Amino acid sequence: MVRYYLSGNEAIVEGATRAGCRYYAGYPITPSTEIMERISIRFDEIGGVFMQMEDEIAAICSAIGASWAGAKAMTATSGPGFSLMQEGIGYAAMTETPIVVVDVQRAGPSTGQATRVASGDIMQAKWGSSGDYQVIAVSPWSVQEAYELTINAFNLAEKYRAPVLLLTEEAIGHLRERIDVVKDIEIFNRRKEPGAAPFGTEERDGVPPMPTFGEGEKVLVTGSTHDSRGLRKTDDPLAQDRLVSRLNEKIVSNRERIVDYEGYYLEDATVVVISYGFTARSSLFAVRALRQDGRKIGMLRLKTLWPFPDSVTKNIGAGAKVLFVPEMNRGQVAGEVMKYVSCQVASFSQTNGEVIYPDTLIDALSRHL
Amino acid sequence: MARDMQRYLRPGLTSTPFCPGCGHGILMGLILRAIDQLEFNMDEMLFVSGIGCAAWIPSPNFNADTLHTLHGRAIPAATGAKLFNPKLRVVVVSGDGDLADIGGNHLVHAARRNTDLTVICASNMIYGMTGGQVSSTTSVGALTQTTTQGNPYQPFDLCKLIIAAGAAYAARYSVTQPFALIASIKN
Repeated sequence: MVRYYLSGNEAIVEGATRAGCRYYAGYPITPSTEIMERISIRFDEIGGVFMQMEDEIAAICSAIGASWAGAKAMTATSGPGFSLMQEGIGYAAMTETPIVVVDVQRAGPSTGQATRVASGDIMQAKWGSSGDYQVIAVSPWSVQEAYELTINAFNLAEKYRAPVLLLTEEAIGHLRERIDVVKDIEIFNRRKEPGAAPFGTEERDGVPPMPTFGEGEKVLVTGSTHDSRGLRKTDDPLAQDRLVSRLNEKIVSNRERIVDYEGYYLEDATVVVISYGFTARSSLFAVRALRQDGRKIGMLRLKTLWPFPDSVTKNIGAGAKVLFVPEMNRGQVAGEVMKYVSCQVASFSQTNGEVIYPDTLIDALSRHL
Repeated sequence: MARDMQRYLRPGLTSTPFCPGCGHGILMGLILRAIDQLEFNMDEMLFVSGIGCAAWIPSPNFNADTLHTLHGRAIPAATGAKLFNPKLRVVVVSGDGDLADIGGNHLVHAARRNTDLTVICASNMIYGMTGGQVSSTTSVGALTQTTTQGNPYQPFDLCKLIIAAGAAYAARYSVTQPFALIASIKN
C-alpha cells in the first residue's frame, strides 16, 4: 500500500491511468481543468495519447473514435461543457462504445458560477441526450473514492459497453486528502471475440463482444438503428424495438450487479438521510451528532446514481417514517426517491454555490425528529 | 475489372442508395479505384463519415472498418482513432453540410493540426438528404428550399479555407473529371 496526498481531480487521473486509460481528449473548463493538465503530463511518463480538442463535442467524439481503435478512453468537463457532450453520450450509448466522462459539477445553469459547487447535473446525466438510453453514473464522496470509482467507471464501461459518468463536484475536485493505493485492484478489459456479431446477442439483455478497428473485422459502426452486424435498419420496427430494448435492458436488468451504496445506522432508524457526493460528508456528520443525542436516525449513501438504486430505496422507504434528501440542486434525487417509496420524502435543497454544512443539516433534520 | 472491384464492397449489398443522376455513386467508385491503384490493404483502412447522403458512400458500402458518426463529427472521431492507432489509414468521406457547416470548426482545426487524415468532401452545394436547403457552399443567388429569393450569402471556397488553416494538400475536382479525381485522391 502506498500513500499519496492528492486533490480529487488528481486522484481521478491516477485512477484512470491505473485502470488502463491511454487516450484522453479534453477542452479547458473550470473546475475540471486540472484533470486535463495532469493527465497530459502523466501520459508523457507512461505512454498515452493526449489531445486538447477545439471544443467539448470534438473531445468526446475523438474519445469515441479512440475507443473503437482499442483505447480505454476518457474525457472530463464541467457544467456547460457537459451539455455540449450530450450528443456524444447518446452516440456512445447507441453504438455501445465504452468511454468514461467525468463531470466536475459547478453552479449553473449555463455559465453560472464557474468556481462554485453544485450537483445540478444529476438529471442531465440521465436524460441529456435524445431517445431512450441508459448510462451508468457514480458519485464519490472523498478523494480516496474519486480514485476508486474512476477505476470502477472504466471497469463498468468496458463490461457493459456503455458510457459511464463520474459525477463529482467542484468541492471534491479541489479537495486535498490522503489516499491509500493498494497493489491488487481488479481491472476489467473488454471482451473480444473475432468474427462475433458486435451489436447483438441471443439474450435480450446481453452485452456483445467488441471488435477493434484495424484487425480485419470490417466493423460497421453507426448511430442509426442497426442490426447485430451494424447494418442500418432505419425503417424496421422490429430492429428498432430489439436494439433499444437491449441497450436499456443490459443496464437495467444488471442493476443489482452495478449499483453500490453504503448504509449507516439503518437498523432502527425512523428518519433516513439519503445522500451522495460531497454532501454525504456533512450528512454523516449530522447523523452521528443526532445519534449521540439518542435520535433514531440513519443514512444511505449512494455511490451509484444511475441506474438508480431502486430496491434498497424501496426497502428503506418501507421501514422509515421520513426520507430526508439534502442536495446541492433543486431536489433532483429527492424526486427520483419519491418514485420508489410511499413514506414522506423531505427534499433539502441548497443552490447558493456553497457546500451544505453539517450544522445546517442538524437544524433541518431536527424538525423531523 | 468489375469483378476485381467487387472485393472492395461489403458482401451482400446489391445497389447504391443514391438517387439517379447523383455523382456520389461515381465518387464511390473513384475512391475505391484510387485505393486499388495504391494497393492499400482494406484491413488497415478506416472510413469515417458524418450524416447526410455523402456519409453513405463508405457506410455500409466499403468492405473495411467504417465509423458512421454524428452530424458534423466525423473529423474528431477520425482524429481519435488515428492518433491512438497511427497505423490505420483514415479517410473521412462526408458532405459539404456535414464537413463545412456543422463540422466547420473541426475541419479547420484538422487542417491546422495536420494529423494525417484524408478528407473527401462530396459537395453537392446543398443539403440533399433533408430535401434541398442552402448550405455554406451554395452559390450566391441560388434558389433553394430556404432561399426562395436567392441565396444572399457568399459560399466558402473550401480549398482556400483549409490551405489558409494549414492543410498540406487541397484540391477540387468534379466527378466528371474521373482520372484527375483519382490522381488527386491518391495524393
